Formats: sequence, structure tokens, C-alpha cells
Amino acid sequence: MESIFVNSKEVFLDTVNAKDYIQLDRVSNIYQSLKNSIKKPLKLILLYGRPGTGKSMFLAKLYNDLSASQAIYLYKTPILDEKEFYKTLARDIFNIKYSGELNFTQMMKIIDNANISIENTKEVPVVLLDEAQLYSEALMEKIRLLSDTRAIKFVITLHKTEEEDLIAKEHFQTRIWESIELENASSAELKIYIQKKLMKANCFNTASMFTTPTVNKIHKLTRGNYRDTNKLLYTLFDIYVSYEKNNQYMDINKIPIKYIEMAAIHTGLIDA
Amino acid sequence: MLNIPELEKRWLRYKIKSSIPYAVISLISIIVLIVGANYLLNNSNTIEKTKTTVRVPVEKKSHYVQKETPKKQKVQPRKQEMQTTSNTKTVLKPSMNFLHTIKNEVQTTQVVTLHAKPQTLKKTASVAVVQPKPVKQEVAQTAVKLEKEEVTPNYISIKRRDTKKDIHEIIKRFKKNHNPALSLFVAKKYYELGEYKKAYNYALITNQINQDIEDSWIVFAKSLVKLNQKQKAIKTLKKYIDYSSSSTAQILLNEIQSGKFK
Repeated sequence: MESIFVNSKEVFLDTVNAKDYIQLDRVSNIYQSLKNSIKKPLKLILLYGRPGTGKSMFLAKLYNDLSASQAIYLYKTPILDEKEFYKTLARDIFNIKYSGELNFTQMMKIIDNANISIENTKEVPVVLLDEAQLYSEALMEKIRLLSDTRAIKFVITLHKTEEEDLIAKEHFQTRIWESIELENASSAELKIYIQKKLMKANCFNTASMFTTPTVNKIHKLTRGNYRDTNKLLYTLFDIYVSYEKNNQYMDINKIPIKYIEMAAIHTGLIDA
Repeated sequence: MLNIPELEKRWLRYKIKSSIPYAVISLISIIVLIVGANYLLNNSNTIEKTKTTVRVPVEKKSHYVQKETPKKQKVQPRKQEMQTTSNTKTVLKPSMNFLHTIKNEVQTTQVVTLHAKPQTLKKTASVAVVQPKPVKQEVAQTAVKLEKEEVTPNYISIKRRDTKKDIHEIIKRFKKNHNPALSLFVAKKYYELGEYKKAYNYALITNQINQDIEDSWIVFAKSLVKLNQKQKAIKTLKKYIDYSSSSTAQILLNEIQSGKFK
């Protein structure tokens, strides 16, 4: 029989999988508004927030939920070459394979010929572009122009840092109809997030170890960032696994602060 | 797989590092508290000393002097404070001078010893007169000097020769408030001055106000003896002894009867 700590550790592996999506009240509301926005005749939807706030997970979830009923395309890694970007869109959306180079003008022609009914929002293909801050400014400009045709709907995610926040706003202010900001979790939300995640994997014993003071400590270290929390908890359970292998006594009712701090030191959240 | 021993070492280092500011703050707080408490204790001790040393000369002074020479009295505690602050090893002893005060009331009220220079007092008085003159700076300088001189630890004697004037003052006060203590005081003073009739009168007044004052009956009887009314004095004393069983009155009666007191 596998240790409960090993199972719990696996829960917090940092992967973007729609099945791992955890429903939290605030996040659910945001997700619902994003889904509603897609149904509206909007050209560009901006999803932004600090790294680790769940933007990629949102896109994955959206793709997972809508793929059965809508033409939707998810690009997790940016296609930085402009021509390659057009070729990929033409191939995926319009099923046109280009052996040679495809430029912006040719792409616009393809869109015109596709004769997509822009009134029927379900017919308009949705392109989900993750990590859009990596696209060049020129390509971003082209994406904006493509969205102006209303034949393709773009949902893009951007990292929000102090500088990037400004860029995001300046670039898209005139074209964006919907912008959604994702934030770090509060302490209460983080508790629900951790416990739900563990319970989803049937780790009930370890889920009950996360009392409010323990979660507060974790929140203090990670500031509610989901990615940092996942990393921290993965290491925390790794520590448990190590102690378990050494047959060291462990209180399974409470997580010692020492273990949390050790995990934080290992993940770099504490500079020691 | 994690290197747990190494991680534990790093954690221990982190804990020590993070607890240093708290330890420093705690240490500083403790030091501040100790120093503060020490200072307060020392301070309260010096205040205690000052208070007790000041009390001694106040006890020495008679009621009279307090009223007549308030300026001089103010000088006294200041001087005492200076003495105590400069000499912290002052040993406090209970003052038994009040016994002498009781015995020799007449002497103490006439001659009072104060810690101040008579010359300086005179000078300050003259300075007050000189004030309106144009040489203001000089006057101010001399005033400062004179004030400083007042603190010098020399002793002066003020002889009081105006007992009668004082008695009149007390009589005035007595007429206002009819305090038997004042009338008794007047009776005693007149007795001491040899004015036995007046002493008799005031003792009588005192007895009428309050018939439980032993001293008043004593002065009353003594005055009668001095006024050649020995039998009346004996009769009065006997009545008083029956009423109060006063031993002092009994002693006086015996002395009168034996002829010791004339």
C-alpha cells in the first residue's frame, strides 16, 4: 500500500490539467464571466494576472469545457514566427495546408474566403493564446487586425507585472471588450483550494492536517499564489515521505511549522 | 529525494537568523526596564530623604513664626533640599526638640532660630525700596547676589519682643471665631507676663466655652492663687478633680494646699 504522503505529493505536481481545476467561489464567478464573454460578439478577451494565478489553468478549463460545442483552439506555447503563426491558424481553423510561406495578406484572404457568419457566435472560431506577452509587438498588432475581421475570436493571457500591466493596457485598450484579472487566493480560499485538491485525490487524512493556522502560514509564504503553493506543498509532502522512510515519528494531526519552513527554504520562498 | 539533514541545518540557521532581531529587541527592552526601574527607585529614595529632612525644621517652628515671617520659612526647605542632594549619606534621627518646645514655650516663641542671614534679609528689604530708581541693572544684580547669599548655611537669631502685640492679634482672632484654643493661649500668655487678672478672665472664658480643657482650669486656679484667692482656687480645683479626676489638677491642688505654690 502506497503512503498517504506520496499520494498527497503527487496532487501538487505543477501541471496544467483541466481535470485538476478547483472550483472556488470567486474563481468560478470569474470563469463564468469568461464563458459568457465568449458567447458575446467580442473580438478580443484579455485574461491577465501575476504568474501563478491560474491563467493557463483557466484556458485549459475553457478549452476542455467548450471544445465539444465550439470550434476552439488552444496554443499553450507561443508561436513566435509570424509566418508559422499564420500557417498554424490556417491549418487548424480553416483546414488549409500551406507548404510555402504564408503572410498576413494571404491570411486575410483565407479568412474572407472562409465566409464565416459573424452573427452566429458559435460558428466563430475561438483561439486561446497563452503567454501572449512573448509575442512580438508587430505580431500582436496583426493579431489585433485579425480580430477586427470578427471571423476569429482571440482570448489571450498576459503576465501582469508592474511594467507589463502598462503594456497590456496600452496595447489593447481600444480593442478589448473584456478584460479579466486573476488574483492570488486569499487565506480562506487557499484553505479550500488545498483541501479540495487533496480530497479530489481521496487524501482525506492529509486534507484534515491543513488547519487555519497552518494555511495562514502557507499563505504568508506564498501570498496565495497557486503555483508557489503547489511547489511548497509538493516539497512539504516530500519531506514527510523522507521522514517516513527514516521511520521518524510524525504527528498526522498537525503540520509542524518547521516542516513548512523547511519546504519554503527548499523551494526558495525563504532565503536562508 | 530531499537531503533532509542538510535542509534541517539550513532551517536551523534560518531560525537563529530570524530570531536575532527579536532577541536584540528583548535584550534592549530588559536593559531599558532595569535602568528605568533603578532610576525610579533611586529617585523615590532621594524624594523620601528630602521629605523627611524638610519635616524636621518645620516641626521646630512655632505657629507664630509661620505667620509673621513667611519669606524666611520659604528659604529653609530650599536649603535643606540642597543639603540632602549634595550629601546623600544624611542619617535621619527623630527630633526630640518638641519636648523642649513644650517645656519652654515662652522662650521658643520669643527667640526663634532660623537658617538665614539677618543682614541679607535687611538688604532684600532695602532692594525693594530702591527698585523705582533709574539704576535698575545694579539693583537686579545685587538682588541676585543677595538671593544667593540667603542660601549660606549661617544661623541667625530673631528675638521677639512684641509678645503683647501678638496677644492682641490672637485676641482679635479669638473674637472672630471664639476658638477656646486661642483664649487658652491668651490666658497662658497673660499668666506668663504676670497679668493674672487677664489670665483669670481668659481662663474663665475658655472654661465657659469648653469645660473639659485641663490646662484652662490649671491656669484659672493658678491665677486665683496669684490674685490671693487661694481658697477659691482650692475649691475650684476640688470641683474640677471630682468632675474629671485629673492628676495634674490633683498635683497642683496638693502644691497649693502645702504652700509650695504661691
